Amino acid sequence: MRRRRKIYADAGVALICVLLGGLSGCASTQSRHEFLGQSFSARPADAPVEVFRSDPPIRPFVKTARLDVHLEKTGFMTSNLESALPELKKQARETGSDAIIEITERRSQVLETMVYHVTAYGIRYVDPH
Amino acid sequence: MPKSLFRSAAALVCAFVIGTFMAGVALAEDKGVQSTVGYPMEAVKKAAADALTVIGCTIKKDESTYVEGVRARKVGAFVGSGGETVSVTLAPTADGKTSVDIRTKKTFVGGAGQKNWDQQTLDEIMKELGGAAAATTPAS
Repeated sequence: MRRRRKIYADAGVALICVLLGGLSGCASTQSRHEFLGQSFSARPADAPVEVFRSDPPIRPFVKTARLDVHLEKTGFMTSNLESALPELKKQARETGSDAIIEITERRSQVLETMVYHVTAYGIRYVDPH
Repeated sequence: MPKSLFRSAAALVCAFVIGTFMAGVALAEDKGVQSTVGYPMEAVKKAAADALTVIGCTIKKDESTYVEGVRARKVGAFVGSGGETVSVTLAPTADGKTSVDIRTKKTFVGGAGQKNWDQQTLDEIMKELGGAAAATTPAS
């Protein structure tokens, strides 16, 4: 009886290890930025970044960089813009951008993996703040 | 169930889980997709890097005539995905165009969830180039 309990306990520990191993590698995030011309210094990690989901801002601006964020999750779990925004804003700060415009979303699927890719452009305001 | 048999089974399961994370032995490359694109090489190289990013690659090599990216590996409830290496080799042609050769290299471990990205990469390259051309074409 004690021996059977020990076997069940070992099985439970092994199952937990397998699950943790699986959960730790079931999602991935890739991001990249590419300056369109002139490069700019990165802004602080807590700098605000405006997000324009439809029309661009009225203030005059210049496009600074193309921003890409790619999310993949297994187990048919989906992603959306809200889940990509933190990384998108981080890429915007790294390119010295004040805001993000022209957001384009793409969704696809590879077997059980749900793929979400967002492309946007970082901009810098021309007039002083 | 005997303890020794259980331990052997547990070791096998752990080895499988670890194996799906670690890079495995690369299988032979596929024949790839080749095409000639009506744009200069610099523009095509940029489009290739953008295309690899869109399909989920992290760019590992970005040389004058060669761009290579690797997709992140993920373990799934069934087969997971990722781990493929996608490469784009470029060469200028005599008439100012660019020839591209796109190949996907899969791995032995985790291969069940991998796919060939050659055609999709070419489609993305053409989409990127088309968008770039539209952006530079003045409105009539």
